[in-house]
Amino acid sequence: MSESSIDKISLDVAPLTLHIGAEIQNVDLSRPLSDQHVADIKATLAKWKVVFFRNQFLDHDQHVAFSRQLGNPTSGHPIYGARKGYPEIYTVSKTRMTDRFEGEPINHPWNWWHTDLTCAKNPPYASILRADEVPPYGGDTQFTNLCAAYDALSPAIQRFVEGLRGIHYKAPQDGVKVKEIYADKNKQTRMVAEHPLVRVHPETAEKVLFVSPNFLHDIVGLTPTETKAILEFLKAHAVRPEFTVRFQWKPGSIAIWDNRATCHLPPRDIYMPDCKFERCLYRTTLMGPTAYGADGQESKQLEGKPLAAV
Amino acid sequence: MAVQIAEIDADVVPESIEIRPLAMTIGAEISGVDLSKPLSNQEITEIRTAFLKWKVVFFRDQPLDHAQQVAFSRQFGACTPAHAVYGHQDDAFPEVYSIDRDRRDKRYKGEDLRLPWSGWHADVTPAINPPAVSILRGDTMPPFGGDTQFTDLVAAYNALSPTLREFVDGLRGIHRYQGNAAVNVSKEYLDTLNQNLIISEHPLVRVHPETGERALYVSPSFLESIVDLTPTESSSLLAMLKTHVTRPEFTVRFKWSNHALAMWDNRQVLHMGPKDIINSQYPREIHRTTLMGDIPVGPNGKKSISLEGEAIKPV
Repeated sequence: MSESSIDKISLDVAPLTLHIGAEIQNVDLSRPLSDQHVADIKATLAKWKVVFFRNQFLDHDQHVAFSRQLGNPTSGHPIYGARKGYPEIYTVSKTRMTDRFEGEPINHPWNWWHTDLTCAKNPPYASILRADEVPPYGGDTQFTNLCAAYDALSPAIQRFVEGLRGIHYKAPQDGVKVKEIYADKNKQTRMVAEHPLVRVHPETAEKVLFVSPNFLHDIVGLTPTETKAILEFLKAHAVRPEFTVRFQWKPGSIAIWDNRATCHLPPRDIYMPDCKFERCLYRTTLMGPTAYGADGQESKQLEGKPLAAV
Repeated sequence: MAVQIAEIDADVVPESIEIRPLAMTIGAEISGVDLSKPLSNQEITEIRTAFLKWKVVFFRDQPLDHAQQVAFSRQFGACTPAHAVYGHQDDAFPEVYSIDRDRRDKRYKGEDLRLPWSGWHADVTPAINPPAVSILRGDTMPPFGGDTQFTDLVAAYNALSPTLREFVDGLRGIHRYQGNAAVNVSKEYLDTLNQNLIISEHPLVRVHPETGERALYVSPSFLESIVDLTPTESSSLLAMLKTHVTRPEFTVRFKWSNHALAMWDNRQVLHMGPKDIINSQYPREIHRTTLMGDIPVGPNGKKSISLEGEAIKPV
C-alpha cells in the first residue's frame, strides 16, 4: 500500500468550498488505478470529505471494480436489497421511496439529511454514487462536514456532547406515516445502533459531530423533553450552510463521500409536481469500522445485524 | 448559615401557627398569627421553617399599613431599598415599592414579545446579591383576576435528567435588567434601564444558603445568555430551561383577597405577575418589601460576579 501525503498528491485536486468538497481531475476510473492514485484518492477523501469526478462513464462491472480498489463493498442495501446480478449495487431511482409514505412532513431544516446506514454499528466507510440518468437541471446533492460542525460548537457544548450517546434507527420524517404494507417489512429489517454523539475519525483522528438527522432520534440519559431540545439544536447546527457543498450532477459524474464524517441531503426538487425529469444513479458502499467515541467506547448494535461485506 | 440549617427541622409540627399546603412542593397558607404585632421567637422560627420548606407562604386577613409591613419584614432580615431600578414612591418609606397595575403600558409600545416564560422572574437577579425574601401585601384587590403564580426552582432542578444536571451545574448565566428582550420598549423605559444598568453573572445552579438544596437559577426575564456557549447554543438551551422551569407541576397559583400577604424565597422561587387585570376596571393596590440576600454560590463553590451596577445595600 502506498503512503500518501496530502501536500504532495499525484492527482489534480480542485477544492470547491472552504471546508468540504473537491473535484479530482485527470484520472480514469474505468481502468485499474496505481497504488499511489488509490492512496491519494483516499487521502483526498479524508481531507475534503467528499470528492467528485466528471466524465467517468463506468458500467456496473467497472463501478464494482473501482469500488473494490478502495475497500470491501457491502451488500447493495441491507433493507432495500441490491440490483439483480450485482449484489454490491443499490439503485437510487427517483421513485424508490415515493410510494412508501403517506402524509405531509413537518419541514424542519434537517429533514432528509443523513449519514448512510447509521442504524448499523459499522456504517459504511464511504459511499460511491455514480450518475446514470440525471436531469439537465435540478436534482443536486448537498453534503455537510460534521468535523467542521463539531469544531464550530463552543468548548462547553463540545465537552457535554462528547459524553453522550445517540440511538440511531430509520424513521419517517416528522408528521409522515409509513404505509401499512411496509410496516411489517420494516419490522423484519429493523436495525438500531447506539453511537457516540462525537465519534473519532479513524484516519484523521478528527472529532466528528455524529448527528445523522434521519436516523438519530434519542439521546441516552436525557428526558424526552431535553432530548428534543438538544437534538433540534444539534441537527439544525449540523446542516448549517457554511459546512456544506452542493453538487450538480451530469452524466458520468461520480461522488464519493466519507460516510464517517458527513451527512448528505438527497434532492427534493425533483419531486415537485412540474418536474418531469427522470433521475437514476447507482451506489456502492464500502465496509467501515465500528464507530468509537473520544473515550474509546465503541458503538453497539442494539437490534438487527451489523453490515457485512459481499 | 450552617447554624440556621441546624436550627430548622421541617418535620417538627408547629405549635404557634397552622400550615395548610397548597401544592405538592410549593406554597402553603399560614394562619393563627397576627402580623401587625411583634412576633414571638417561636412564631418567627416556625414561619421561617414553613417558608424554607414551602418556598412561598401566604397569610390572609392581615390589614397592615406601610409601617407595620416594614416592621413585620425586619423581623426576618434587613430591608433593601424599595426597588434597585425604579426607587421608591413615598419618602417616608424607602423600603416600600408600590406596584402600578398598569405599569406595562408605560414601558412598552404596542405588543411586547410573548413567549411561554414571559413575565416569570425572581426579583432583581441582575444584582450580584438579589433579595433573599420578597414580601407582597395586597391592600385593595380585584374581586376576581390578578392571581400571582410561583414556581419551585428546586423541583425544576430535580426533574432534569442527571446528565443535564451535571452539565448545567458547571454553567454560568448573565442576568441583565432589561425589559422582555427589548421588543417595543418605550424610550422612557429604556432610558431608565440604561441609567440604572445592572448586570451580574450567576451560577446556573444555585446552592441554597440555608437548606443546601440546588435550585435551577433561571430567571427568564433577566437571564439573557449562558457564558462560554455560542449565541445559538445559548438561545436553544435557555429556551428549553425557561420552558422547563415554568412547567405547571412546579407551580402554585395564589388568588388574592384584600389584606392578603405573600412571602416568597426569592432564592428558589420565580413568580409571574398577572396580565389579565391590566386596564381592567378593578383597582389593585399592592406593596412590596424585600430583604437583603447574599451573593449566590454554585455547586462548585464559585460565587456570582457583578458586571455592571452596585450591589444592593440595606436601608
